[in-house]
Amino acid sequence: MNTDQFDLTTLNTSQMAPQIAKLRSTGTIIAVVGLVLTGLSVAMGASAQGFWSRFWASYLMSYVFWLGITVGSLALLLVHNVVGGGWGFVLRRFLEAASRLLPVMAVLYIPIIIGYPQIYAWARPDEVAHDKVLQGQTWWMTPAFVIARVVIMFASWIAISTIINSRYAKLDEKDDPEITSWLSVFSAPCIVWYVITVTVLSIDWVMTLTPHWVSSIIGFLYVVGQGLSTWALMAILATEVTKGEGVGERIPDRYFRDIGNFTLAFTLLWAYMSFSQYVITYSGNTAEEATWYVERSHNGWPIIGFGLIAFHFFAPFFTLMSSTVKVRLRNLAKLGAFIIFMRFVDLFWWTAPHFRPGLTISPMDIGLPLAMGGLWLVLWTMQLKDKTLVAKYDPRFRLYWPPHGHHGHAEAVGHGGHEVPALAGAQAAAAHGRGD
Amino acid sequence: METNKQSPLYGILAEFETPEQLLDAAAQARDAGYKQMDAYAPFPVEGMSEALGFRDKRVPLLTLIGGFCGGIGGFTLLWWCTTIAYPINIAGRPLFGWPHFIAITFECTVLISALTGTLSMLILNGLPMPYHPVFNVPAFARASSDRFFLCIEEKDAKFNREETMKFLQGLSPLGVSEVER
Amino acid sequence: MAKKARAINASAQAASAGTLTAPGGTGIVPAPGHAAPPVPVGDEETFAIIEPGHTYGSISQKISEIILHGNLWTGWLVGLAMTVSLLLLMLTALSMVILQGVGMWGINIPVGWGFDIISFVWWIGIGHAGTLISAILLLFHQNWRTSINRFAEAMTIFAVMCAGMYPLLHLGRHQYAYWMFPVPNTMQLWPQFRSPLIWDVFAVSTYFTVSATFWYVGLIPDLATLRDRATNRFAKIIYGVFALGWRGSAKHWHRYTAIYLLLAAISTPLVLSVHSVISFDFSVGIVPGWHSTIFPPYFVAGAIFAGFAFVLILAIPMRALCNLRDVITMKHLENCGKVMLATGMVVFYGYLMELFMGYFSRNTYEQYMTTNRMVGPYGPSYWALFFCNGFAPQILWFRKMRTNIPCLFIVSLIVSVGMFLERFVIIVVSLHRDYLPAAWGMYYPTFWDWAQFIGSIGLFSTLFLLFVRVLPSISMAEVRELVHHEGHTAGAGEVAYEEAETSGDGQTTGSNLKPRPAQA
Repeated sequence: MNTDQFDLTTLNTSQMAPQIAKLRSTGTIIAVVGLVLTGLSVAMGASAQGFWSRFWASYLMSYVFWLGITVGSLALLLVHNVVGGGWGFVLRRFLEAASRLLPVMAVLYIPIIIGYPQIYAWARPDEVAHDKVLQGQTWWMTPAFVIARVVIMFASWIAISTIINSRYAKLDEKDDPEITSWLSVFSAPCIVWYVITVTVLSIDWVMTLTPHWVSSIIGFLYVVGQGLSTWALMAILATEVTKGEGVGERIPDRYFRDIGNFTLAFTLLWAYMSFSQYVITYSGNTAEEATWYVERSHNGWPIIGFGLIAFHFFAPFFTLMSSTVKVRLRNLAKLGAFIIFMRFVDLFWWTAPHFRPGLTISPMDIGLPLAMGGLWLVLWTMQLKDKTLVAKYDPRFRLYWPPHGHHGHAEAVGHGGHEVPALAGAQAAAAHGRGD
Repeated sequence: METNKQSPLYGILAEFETPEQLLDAAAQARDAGYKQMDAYAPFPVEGMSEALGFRDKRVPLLTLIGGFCGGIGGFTLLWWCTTIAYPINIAGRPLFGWPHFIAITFECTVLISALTGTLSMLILNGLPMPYHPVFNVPAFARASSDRFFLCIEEKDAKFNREETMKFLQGLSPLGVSEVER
Repeated sequence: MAKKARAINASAQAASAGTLTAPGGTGIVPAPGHAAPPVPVGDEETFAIIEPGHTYGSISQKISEIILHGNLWTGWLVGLAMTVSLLLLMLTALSMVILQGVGMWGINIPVGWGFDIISFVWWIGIGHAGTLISAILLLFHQNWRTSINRFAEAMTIFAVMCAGMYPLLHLGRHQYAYWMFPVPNTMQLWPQFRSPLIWDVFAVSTYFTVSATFWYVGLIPDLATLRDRATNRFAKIIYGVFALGWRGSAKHWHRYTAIYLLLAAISTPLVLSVHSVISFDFSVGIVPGWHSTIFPPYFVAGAIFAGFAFVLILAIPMRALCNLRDVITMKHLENCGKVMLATGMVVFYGYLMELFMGYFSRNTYEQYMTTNRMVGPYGPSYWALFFCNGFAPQILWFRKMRTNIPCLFIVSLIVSVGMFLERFVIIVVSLHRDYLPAAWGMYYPTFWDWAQFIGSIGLFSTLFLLFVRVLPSISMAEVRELVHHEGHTAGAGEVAYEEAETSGDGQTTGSNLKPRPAQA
């Protein structure tokens, strides 16, 4: 590790202004391209039958992805507060910035409420009146109740995000071990809440796209999907922001290996859960459940299904088996771009088929994700304020990043006049063990 | 060379107290031009293979090959049994119902790769090997507890009974002894 | 530092054993990162992964002493007498079932799967924690696993042995057990590979083989230590034979670490697959209460949950009896508590999802099954399950409780009971009232059901006691490696980070050597 003359704690995001500005302009271009493509679709097909249901399904797909990144970033911060790990310090600023975009995502949900009747059977009173199953579900699925849940979800996420961001801000100003241990205690129950809310979200927003269909694994599948998307996007963003600074070369490989290993683990979990759902449904072959796969087994849709097996699982899996991919952030970023594309394909597979008899792709299916993503990216870069790249006062940081050289050493000891807080120290050591 | 021929030596063994000293000794021995040597430690010392200049990636490779063979073999077995050898209609499901083959294919992959890998580790290490000259040195009994040994072997081109002995003594070991065959 | 006295004591012990101190100043100086947390625990407890002061020699000495010159004879013999009597009970029950048939059990139509399959799933689940500890935690570099992985792996193997017995007995016609394997035969019959019960055969036998391989590979260096330290000639020969001539050569270690990591990497998805396949035994069928897509992950979590509870049940008495408090420390117990809490939450989530989907699906049978679970004839078992697996583990949110040994032990016992109840609720309660009310029935376990189950605990405990006596229940080679690492970090006088540049803090390293290779 040639970390000798390099002190990560002095690295400031303001030094990366050119890269951030470049990302911002890229984001703008992406958003514009996305809007043009979407506009094209609307202009061409708005009058076609069922267009708006396809439109809102597409909007939902891109929304679920970008919300997943935003909430997923919050979740990774929470996880890091509890278990620690070197990766968290590499990604901390980027995750923080993403988690502050939750209010924007809340606003972006509002259009979907307009689209409810287009995509959800439970939002069409006449259909509910003639459907005993839907009637039976009204204790959970009514537009008002769904909206209430959405409000609660966003309120709680924004509250959690605000609280932990304010604590992080305090941690940047002064060296206070109390904060770290407080964050650890606070975050553990928040993770539970995160899993519950994502489960509710996946049931309310995605499962009910196909009326009558139920799958109890859906919550886990979306938790894993969000995690995977977030790892992939964060690998890209971290590479882009630190490009040219040589940061990537100077951070010990093992932190990137952590990111690579997590990407691998989440790829495996995604495949495992998707396969479980499939094989159980396939074997049971009951009318209520199998419909979901029946819709996806005709008219070109199997291409997507087999594509997912090959490229959402096998391709990243075999790529991540190679340790040269896993330890280089730049390689992870390239793979990340591919994974993100496949995440969209997966979400398309989840949301689109019910509204299209056959496999068709219109410009808006690409345009809406791009437009939303461009916007997200621009807003995200704005959140990368003038801060040190790593949270240098986080007491656990020093567990992972040893001070270098004699000067750094003395400084760290000076700071560390206090004892490393017992809880944080013990937990970090436990969580990370040997640390490699 | 003369002395080599008449001596029934396997090599010369130096005993060290810490893994760092062992690493250091191995590095110096390599610098001195010795190639045929081995280090003995009670746990895997990181950097030891590099210090000895030893590389071998066959175990992971064989494990991988074993895994592929197991997976392909398992899947082929299932396909052959259900469609050719014993086709039987169960609940109207397709004979070639691949989703139902995944679990066994996976288990076969795991089983064969684990067994191949373990066997290749043992075979490449020459185990089981009930007799080995280094065990003739009484002090070597502690190689499995708390001592670290470096053995420069007789087959090394540069090996010379006196000089190698002197060289090893120069590394400040706890002791140096000749290993009889 | 209340620690100091003990640490010095330990090093004195080590010195008397004729060993040398570890590099980097023995690690007696407690580094800031290792400072003991202000938690009121007994002054003998430590939160370090291993108590400071241990050296390579003291570890080898301490652990091999237990086996080679053990003086736990009385307690051990009493224990063995008890477990063997349970084992005899099991053998009686086993003979009864083999001679008289499975009718001796309480199973009948409609409840064809009773205590046998419940116990099978229960045991297999317990086994999973062993593999998890040894494999997954190794991959994630959690080196607190080092002191507990060996006996956890032994636990896996013995638990799988107990588990494997049940499906074989359940066959009824035991002489045809080989039909489950793809053996070419004169009848030209092949197993029905589209049945999850056959997947089970492959999964469990693979699991057993790979776990045993992993365990044995891990044992080889320790067997060599025992061979070299044994004074009894018979012991020397036996350990020598099984040590295969291991001599700790760098070339040996090179290939050994490669395969050890690979076996860990292979075992990790294997654990997932095994319990998922077991969940498929239920979920691919369409019995209400079985057919639910969440089964695989929730079964896996339940297995880990039960397994860690069992690790605690074994570790807490073992560390007291064999005086292993300095190697299996409070940190291990607390971490097991944390894993139990996390997996317990997943299991609880599974229960709630089943409950939600039961009513949300608006499927008559699913709804009835869910109601029947709560208020049917077996209702109390469902509520007991909620208490044992849902509510009781919540106490582990509090650090004070996680570090309280009696509390951990009691929670572990409750969880073990809870996991048995979980399988009871899933298997029996689902089967006893399914689609056709005319075919409903009740299931009551007979004496032989209980005898078989309780007896299998005897089988497990007997094997475990024998293991503790004849094999090192803690991996000496790995703990030595741990001492090496801890010695470094503690000796550097800094917090416990890994990348302590060896050359920078006054250690003697070779001129052209890297402190660590890039490949870990």
